[in-house]
Amino acid sequence: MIRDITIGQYYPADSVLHRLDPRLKLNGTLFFIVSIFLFNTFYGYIAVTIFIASIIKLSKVPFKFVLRGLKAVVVILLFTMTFNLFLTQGDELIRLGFLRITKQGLHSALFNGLRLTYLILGSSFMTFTTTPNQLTDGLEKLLWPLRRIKVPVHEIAMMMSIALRFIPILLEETDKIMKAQMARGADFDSGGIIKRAKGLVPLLVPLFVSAFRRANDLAMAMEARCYRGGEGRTKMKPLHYRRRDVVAYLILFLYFTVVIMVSIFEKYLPYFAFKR
Amino acid sequence: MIHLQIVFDHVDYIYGMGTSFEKHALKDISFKIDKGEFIGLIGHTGSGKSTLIQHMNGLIRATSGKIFYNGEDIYDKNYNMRSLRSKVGLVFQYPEHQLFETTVYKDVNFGPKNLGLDKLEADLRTYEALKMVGIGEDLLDVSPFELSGGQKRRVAIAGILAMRPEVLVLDEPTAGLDPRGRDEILDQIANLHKESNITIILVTHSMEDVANYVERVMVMNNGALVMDQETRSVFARYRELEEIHLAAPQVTYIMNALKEKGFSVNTDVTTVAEAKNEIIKGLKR
Amino acid sequence: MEMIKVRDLAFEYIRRNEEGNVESISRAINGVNLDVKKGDFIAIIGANGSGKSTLAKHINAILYPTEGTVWVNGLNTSKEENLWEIRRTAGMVFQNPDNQIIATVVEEDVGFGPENLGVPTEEIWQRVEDSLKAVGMLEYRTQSPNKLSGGQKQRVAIAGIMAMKPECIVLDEPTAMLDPSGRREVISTIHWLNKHENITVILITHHMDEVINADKVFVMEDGMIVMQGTPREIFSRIPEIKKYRLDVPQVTELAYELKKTGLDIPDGILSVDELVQALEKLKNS
Repeated sequence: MIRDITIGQYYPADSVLHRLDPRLKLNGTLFFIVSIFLFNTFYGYIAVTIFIASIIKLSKVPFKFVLRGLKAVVVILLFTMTFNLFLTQGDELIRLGFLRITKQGLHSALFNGLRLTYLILGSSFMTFTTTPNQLTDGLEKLLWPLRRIKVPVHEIAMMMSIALRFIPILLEETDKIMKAQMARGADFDSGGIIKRAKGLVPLLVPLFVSAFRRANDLAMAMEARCYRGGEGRTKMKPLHYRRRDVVAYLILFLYFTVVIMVSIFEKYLPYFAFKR
Repeated sequence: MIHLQIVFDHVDYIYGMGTSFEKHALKDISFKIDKGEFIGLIGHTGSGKSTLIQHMNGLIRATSGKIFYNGEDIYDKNYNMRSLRSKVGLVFQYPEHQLFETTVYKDVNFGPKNLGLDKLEADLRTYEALKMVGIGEDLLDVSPFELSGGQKRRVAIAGILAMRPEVLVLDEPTAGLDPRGRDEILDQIANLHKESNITIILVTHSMEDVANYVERVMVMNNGALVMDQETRSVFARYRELEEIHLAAPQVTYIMNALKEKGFSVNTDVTTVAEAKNEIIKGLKR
Repeated sequence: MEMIKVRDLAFEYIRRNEEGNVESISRAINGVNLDVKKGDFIAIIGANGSGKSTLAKHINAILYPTEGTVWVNGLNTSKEENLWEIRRTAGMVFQNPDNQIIATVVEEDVGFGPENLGVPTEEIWQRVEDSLKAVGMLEYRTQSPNKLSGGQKQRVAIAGIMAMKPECIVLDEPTAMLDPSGRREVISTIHWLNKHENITVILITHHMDEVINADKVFVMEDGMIVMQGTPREIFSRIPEIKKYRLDVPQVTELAYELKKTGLDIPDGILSVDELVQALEKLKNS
């Protein structure tokens, strides 16, 4: 049952975004995140919003699914916004007892709240439309040049994809071990921090032993299938840029240019301060 | 005198309600188990056997329905669920995967210690349990990780026996063992049953093991309890068993094939020894 | 021409203590001679600790002989330069279905072997498709292995080996962790491959019912081959088999018991039909 939960919340669909090269999506997400921090007025958000809205539409991922991802960060979001709202110095707008809300506070609460939201949304779309294995393949190819300075890129990528493969299995095993120890009267719920930490030993020791055993078995199986490191390996699903990737890169650059322009010229535009 | 030990009353279990992974794992399960019975629980993979036994010691809570242990409602708010865990001992599949202590002795001692017993009593139970599974004193100070597979399994089972359960539930205790290991464990369990009258519930895929050891068989299919009778009667319905991806012991097929060919034999027999006698009699008739 | 040749093989496991000094030496293989012809389906059976797994691991050079020699298709397994060719020729499927699947998508896992061999991309796809078809798992090609049953996972593992175009597959207790239907799936798959793709199969197991269709059976105990012959020949020697702590199918045991009482029943009965026929003959005579 636990195995059904996919890590990174990949949403299988057949959209343009799903078919794009993972390297493009990795770079694109990076560009996007940087772009959010480039401007200081709400004009920049017009460009960003248009961009993100088109992404949402193109990805064929249902909006409900997207919002579910945001649910996890709602607490951090509210926290950040509240901090900004009440602790920014400036021109006072409202006073509630000893709490004051300033104009700047309101501005920065909304601004940073939006920034955070878009940050989460933007990076989510990378994981919604790219399988974990595509991501590791993309990373491996992007970081390949680092091999010249002895960075073990292939090995890292292989480790990552094996880890992804075994996460659901280890989660299920943790559950099994917990249940087995609970059947012997183990208590994972009560007690102070030290007691609980000690109580984890009957869970962690078997888990580690099991993980090592799996690693040993897996290594033997890989050797039996002639694995000998990254040298001489071919790829079943090699990454090749296609025409649609080139077009996507162009659109990305266009978007980025627009955002830079806005950030340069925004100080000349009438600034819509928050008016009541 | 009959002593009703475990009673399930219209138990349902649904997990993942409201999500796309919703599964109705147990459907309207009702049965009664008397103290001292030796029961086999069979069913295809995914039929709900594992889920069912985890309800017996309270590890999983039913979505609806009632469960009684020794006449008490285990979902009553005053019921001591933790004590249920020591009374109904549950040995999971590959129990040796739960070993963690530095010595065999300490690992088996884990259960009694958790029960809050004083050291003397806990030690007593530990020694007792290890003796029950045939682990010699020379192994007490050895790390459990240095034992053979079969020994590890017996230590793990001792870990549950040390809690002095009134009911012992074993989920495929012979999985992964070779024929000798399998015989040893099943014989020990049968011995335990004879000597201490512990109620035993054996989850297994081996029909031969069921025929050789248990008195009553409960059959699960897709979350429902579809048969609940004494061993012979269940295997007599072997065609129905086949329809739900199960089988009967080979002996059942032999006897039925012989009957079809005109032999006058009793097809109720389920073990080799019984079959031999029946066939000899049948040849004389 | 011999596919596999083993001469005077001996293998010692050396256990070292924390300082690196030798603590104990156990002779897991103690003088084994074995010949396997191309296209054979042979089974090696024995109790746990008999050395059968250790022997299997010599065939694809996971282990090197302490004494003696092993040749795979004429290549000496002790020579390092032969290592990868030997492993391509003799593939190995292991006991734990999960611990030999690398990828998160079935077709990608099957392609892992060819990728390691440097096979060009297009040909990898062809091999993956052919292998999955051969084991009957093509429709699951884009699925996650986590959604498969044990038997299906083992079939994917077999496909992964087939994609490397081996001449021989060694299976080390491939059904030990499977339920009866999974076991049937795997055994029938390897028989199919043996017959239709001319793959030499070496099956390591302790389940006697899996070996009744093998060409030749070898029984191991204490690191030596103690019995060899066709399944029928081996199953005719029941007291010996029991001495080696192995099992026989119920029908074989029943036939033997009946024969002991004086009835004229042929040796080495392997199936229900054979026993029924033999008994019919007796009845009519």
